[in-house]
Amino acid sequence: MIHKTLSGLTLAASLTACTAFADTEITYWSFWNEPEPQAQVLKTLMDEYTAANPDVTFNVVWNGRQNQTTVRNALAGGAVIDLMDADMDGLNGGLVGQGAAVALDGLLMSAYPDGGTVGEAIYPALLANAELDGSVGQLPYAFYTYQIFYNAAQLREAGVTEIPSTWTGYVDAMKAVQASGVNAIAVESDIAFYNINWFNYLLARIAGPDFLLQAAEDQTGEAWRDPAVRQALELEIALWDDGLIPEESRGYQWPAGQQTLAFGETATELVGSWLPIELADQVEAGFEWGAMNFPMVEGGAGDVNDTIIYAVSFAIPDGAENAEAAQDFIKFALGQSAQARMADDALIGVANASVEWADVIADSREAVANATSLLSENLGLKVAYADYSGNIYEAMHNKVFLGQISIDEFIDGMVDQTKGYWDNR
Amino acid sequence: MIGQRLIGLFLTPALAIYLCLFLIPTGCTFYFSLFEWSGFGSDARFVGFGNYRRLWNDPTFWLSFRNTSALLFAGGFFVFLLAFLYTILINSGIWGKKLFRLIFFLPNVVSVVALSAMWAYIYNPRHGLLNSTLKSVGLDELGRTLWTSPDNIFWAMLAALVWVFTGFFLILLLAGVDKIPLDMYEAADLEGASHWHKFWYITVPMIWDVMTISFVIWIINAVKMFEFPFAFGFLQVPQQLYTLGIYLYIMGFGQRDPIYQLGYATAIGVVMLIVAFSLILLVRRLMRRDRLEF
Repeated sequence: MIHKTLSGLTLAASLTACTAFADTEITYWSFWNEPEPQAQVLKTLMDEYTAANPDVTFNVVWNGRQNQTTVRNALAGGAVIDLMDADMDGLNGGLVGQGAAVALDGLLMSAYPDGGTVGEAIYPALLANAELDGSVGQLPYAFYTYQIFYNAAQLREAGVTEIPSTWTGYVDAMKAVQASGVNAIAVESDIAFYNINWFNYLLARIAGPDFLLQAAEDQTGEAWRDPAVRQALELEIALWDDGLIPEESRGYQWPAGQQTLAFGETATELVGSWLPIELADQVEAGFEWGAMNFPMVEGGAGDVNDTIIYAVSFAIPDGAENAEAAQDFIKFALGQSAQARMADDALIGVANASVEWADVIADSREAVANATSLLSENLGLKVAYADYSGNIYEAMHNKVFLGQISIDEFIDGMVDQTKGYWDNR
Repeated sequence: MIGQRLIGLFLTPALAIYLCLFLIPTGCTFYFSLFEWSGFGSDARFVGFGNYRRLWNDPTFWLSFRNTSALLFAGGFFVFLLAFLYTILINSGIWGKKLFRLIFFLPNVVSVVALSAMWAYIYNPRHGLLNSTLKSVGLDELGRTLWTSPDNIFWAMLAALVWVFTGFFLILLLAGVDKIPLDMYEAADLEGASHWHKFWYITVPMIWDVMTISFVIWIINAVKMFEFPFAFGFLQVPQQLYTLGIYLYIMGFGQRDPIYQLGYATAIGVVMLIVAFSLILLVRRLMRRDRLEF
């Protein structure tokens, strides 16, 4: 309560310094659905912004996750949109990547009254992900980390007193969990973009985060025969072979896998930091959430502190009539007070590095604070070659991960399909 | 002459709407399929039939095509098999004809998302209705089947789809059957005809037109099938469930990936239109018969 009051006071102070805009209505198309907590926080922020700038109002359309597609179609139909948001990789592969967004480099230099600039407020590693071809066309305000989330009590009961940082240590810990009578790892069979993170992380830890993009860009496809690929596959398949992932998970449709965590049947899941929030109503009171970094593979070329993220950013489409006011609102939304409200009320990680995150995702904030790099989904493949990423890479991986094809078939298939992809472009 | 002019005048608004809302957009679709275009802005690059050449060499397109074909033929076979079977049963004079009709049609008035959630519960490997039922009757081995694993998920989805669509086509067929004069069946009864003979020699010929239109509707539905497999896939549609409609959506509108290849997606749409149109022509030719009047 005290924290919120202080936040409010700081917020009011920062708003008094806002630029005046005459009779402006910002048309904002949102990535969130209206009932979601993130949308509720944004509504509050807009109300507060309007209270401080009475001439500025908002016309909001809550489109949900397909927002960028809807914005694209509306822009093609002549609609004028001042502000929109979408996932960072989506924007870099869409509106921003297509050169249809206003550059926000100038906004990064804009100073807050209590010191520091917008650019300085944001985690540098996060901002680096927003940059495309030397310019910033989107500004992230919230994000999730992909980590191994766990039930801390179950790990303790299994005798896992120290969170493992190596693959061998991780497998041993999971075997101890399994031996304690709880399933070690939950997976959802149908969500390829969850499962691919096993392979993304293993490849990044073994061969470094740039390997995947290089393999995809090898037009002969032969890079997929690199020993790192086989090693990564063997390590993840061994989790099934060792019984650490229950066989019946091959038939789990979301949210069946994560519900086993809520019911106390499984101890861990590699997933985004939205998991504690999604399961908040299902876990018992006092459920202790923890999140560990994906472990380092011994002898690998990667960095155990590299963390894959899924960020949500604001962008201003070209042709916006109130681009200046929209930028001012972005600056306000990235301010410490607004970000604290987002972190507290929506329980999501926020871009402003000075803001604490909610307790259930405190480990995620620590991972971000210690991160050498924040990696984008599919290690940049999703932005660079979205069709390859979704239709070939994730689809093929899900087949091998779920045992539909062998490791050799995966490697041969990736070689053939990569070659075919480039031949067909 | 005046009458014909008057008819033409009355038809004009309908023709204008049809032209504006269907024929011109269809023409535009073909036009855009000749371009590489993201949909952002108006920068489109003319590639001629390049998108069609890409389709020819695209394994995901052929996977979607195979799934759509399986849905069309295997799904169609079971939908009409069950619809005809229920038609015979319901029309055999059993009690509660209207009640059964309502029960079979009910899935068509329920939201697709709700239906897919229900089937997810039915197929759940651990607590699902299907496996629990199988285990409770002693079929333990079968009760351990992972119906939604990658190997089985397409057929699991197809079974649910057959359940949804059977009711719709049952209603169509029953509507046709209801129009058959009862004295035909009475005469057949006097001759000692069995249910099968009455169905084959009276019902089928008398509802031939209804069957033709039912097949046409099924072809259209199957070729553009999108909602149910998409909802069945929940957060991310597994590639095992891709239909041409879903692949078009993924390529043109993205799902989680910023693919945005609108020109390529419209090429898929053109192929769907050609496939549906060709099959409809084929069915209408194969089922052409002299008109029965009664």
